Amino acid sequence: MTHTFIPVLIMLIVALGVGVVILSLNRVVGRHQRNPSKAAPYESGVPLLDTNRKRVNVRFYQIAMLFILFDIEAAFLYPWAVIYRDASHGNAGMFLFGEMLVFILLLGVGYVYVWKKKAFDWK
Amino acid sequence: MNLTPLLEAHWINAILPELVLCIGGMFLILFDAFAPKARSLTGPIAVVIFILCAWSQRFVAVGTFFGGTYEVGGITRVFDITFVLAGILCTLLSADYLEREGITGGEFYALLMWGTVGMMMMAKGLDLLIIILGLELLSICIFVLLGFQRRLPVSNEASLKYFLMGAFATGFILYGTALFYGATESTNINVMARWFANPDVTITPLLTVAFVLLMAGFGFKLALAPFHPWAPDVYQGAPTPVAGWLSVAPKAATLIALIRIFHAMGPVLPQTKWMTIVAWLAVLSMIIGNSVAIAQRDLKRMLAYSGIAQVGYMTIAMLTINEDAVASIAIYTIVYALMNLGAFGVISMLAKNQNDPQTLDDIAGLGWRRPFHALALAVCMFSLSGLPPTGGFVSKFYIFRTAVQSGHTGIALIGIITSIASVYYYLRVVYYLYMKESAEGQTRIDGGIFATGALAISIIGIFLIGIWPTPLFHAASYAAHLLLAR
Amino acid sequence: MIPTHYFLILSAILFTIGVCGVLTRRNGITIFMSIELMVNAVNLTFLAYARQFHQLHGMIFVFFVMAIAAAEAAVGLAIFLSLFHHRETIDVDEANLMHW
Repeated sequence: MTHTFIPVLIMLIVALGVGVVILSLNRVVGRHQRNPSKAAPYESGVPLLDTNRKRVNVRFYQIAMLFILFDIEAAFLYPWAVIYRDASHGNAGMFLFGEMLVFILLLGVGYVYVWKKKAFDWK
Repeated sequence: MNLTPLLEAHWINAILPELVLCIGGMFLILFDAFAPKARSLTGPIAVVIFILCAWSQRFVAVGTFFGGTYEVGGITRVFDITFVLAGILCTLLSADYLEREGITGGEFYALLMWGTVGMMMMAKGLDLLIIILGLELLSICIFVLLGFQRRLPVSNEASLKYFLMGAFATGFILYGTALFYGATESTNINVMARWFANPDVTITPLLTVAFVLLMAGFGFKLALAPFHPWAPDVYQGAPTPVAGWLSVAPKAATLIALIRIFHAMGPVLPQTKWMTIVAWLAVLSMIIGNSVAIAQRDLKRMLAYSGIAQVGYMTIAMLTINEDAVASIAIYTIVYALMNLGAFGVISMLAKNQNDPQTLDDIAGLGWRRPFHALALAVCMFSLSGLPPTGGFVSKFYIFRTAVQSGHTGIALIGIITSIASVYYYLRVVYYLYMKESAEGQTRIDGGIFATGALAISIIGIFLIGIWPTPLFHAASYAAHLLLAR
Repeated sequence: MIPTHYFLILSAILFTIGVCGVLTRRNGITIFMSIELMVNAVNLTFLAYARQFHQLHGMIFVFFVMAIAAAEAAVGLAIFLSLFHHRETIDVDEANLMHW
């Protein structure tokens, strides 16, 4: 079983080798000139407008916090959705549907709360 | 696939108290969001909801529910009383405290309620999943409650410390659970009990590691000795009623969860050293808690170290799980809820900048200025030190008697000696109350009708249990008998 | 099929890295990331056992652990924001108003 991975190994060695060879060639043969545009992050790109070490507005974090919560709750919908069709006949269908209804209702309460608390307002 | 057996008959009765609290909490946050002007009403509404929850205990159905993951029985009802009692006392104390600090909000009481639901889940969970879910529900509510005074740096710091340490401890509990799952092939406590009862079972070192991880996690939640350093800081920084509640209710919930787990492990415990580990935790807690408390001048820090010692006493009874042990722990938690919340209640009334520590000097001479509040604090201190005729004496007596009867005489002796030493720092508070002249610029005591009511409940409860404990003990013993009969 | 104990060793290593991270790091967010690593190591353990036992138990556990971790992350982020608001830093050593 192991031998099936030998091509991958060869691939890895070749890739590594090519990388090393080209970089060292560059180092040995190429001329080294220093100027400001060389040091720029995108040498041939648009000039930078601003730095990237800026403080992010706190509202982004607020939205991120709420996103994490509602996002993970959505993960609970998947197992339910996968079995819903197969499992729902007779009582079980109503039971499953009711369960999800309660779940969504609970999320809804949280949603209404953050809405009324103006956590989504962007001003 | 048939899903209907997931819901036994009367399932709604089984979780009625939890439902009341969940819906009550949701109502409160929506009330706060839609009617911010009527915010001061949230406190009284919260009290009503807690009373409704206590009343709903009458309709609770007894049995095992939700596919064997949720067990409602006598003992869970006893612990529910503790949780609801702690919730009501904390709500009453907070109503005035939050008003004075200008941070009243429905969320506070909602978090208190959801935390109580978490504790109820821990007490009733028959599956480690339910216990951990309850624990986390509780912990997350505590994180927010601790930081509820957003403007205060100390409150934020308390929240941060509890959060980091709490999440760390949760990691240990989860890993321990995972390793137990690997051995027993189930997280259901009854199934695990059957696996442990098998005479051929061998205890691998991996299982010992799992147990140590579990105890490290739960030891943190209980503030047992090597895992206690968070307690004084968190109590000092937290809003005072929350600190009182935190020192009482989560410990009760963790203890009942541990009782279930230890009971399931019962058959293998004699051939392992596991209980020796627990015994060391108890001994260390009693010694460190009581000796460091003597050096504290900050009242909340002193009560934090006293709490470490008190949970050490309770852990003594856990060393052998039998009916008396469970009953004495149940009674201890009720009494502890009354006396500790009473003590924190008086401290919460000290009207001063909450960023500064509340020290012994703040209560100097209080006995002559505010006789009732001073009396309440004195009674709580007498009870905490275990002097008759208070509930503290009775509960300590039961604990030590149980320990001696189960053959842990040495540890019980350490408990008694350290508890005698603890009388010094408890009575020092009483000394400051009555024997000291109040200093210049004395701290005002600011107690409204709710907080005073809470203190009255504490005093009455402490004396009631102290003078007439037999009915409660019989009820708790019977409930414990039902729990352990399986 | 890969033997179960491979996964267990990997998860033990991850858990240990997480613990070391918590104990050595001083940045609050990094500490919390280390805790998340511990929790995910636990998830791996659960999944490995669940696969070995052909059970759903462990997988359901993982689901709930994930939800717990997310809830903790949200609350934690809020706490760190509040800390930053007070101190302009999230270095936990700076949180020293009350001595340990």
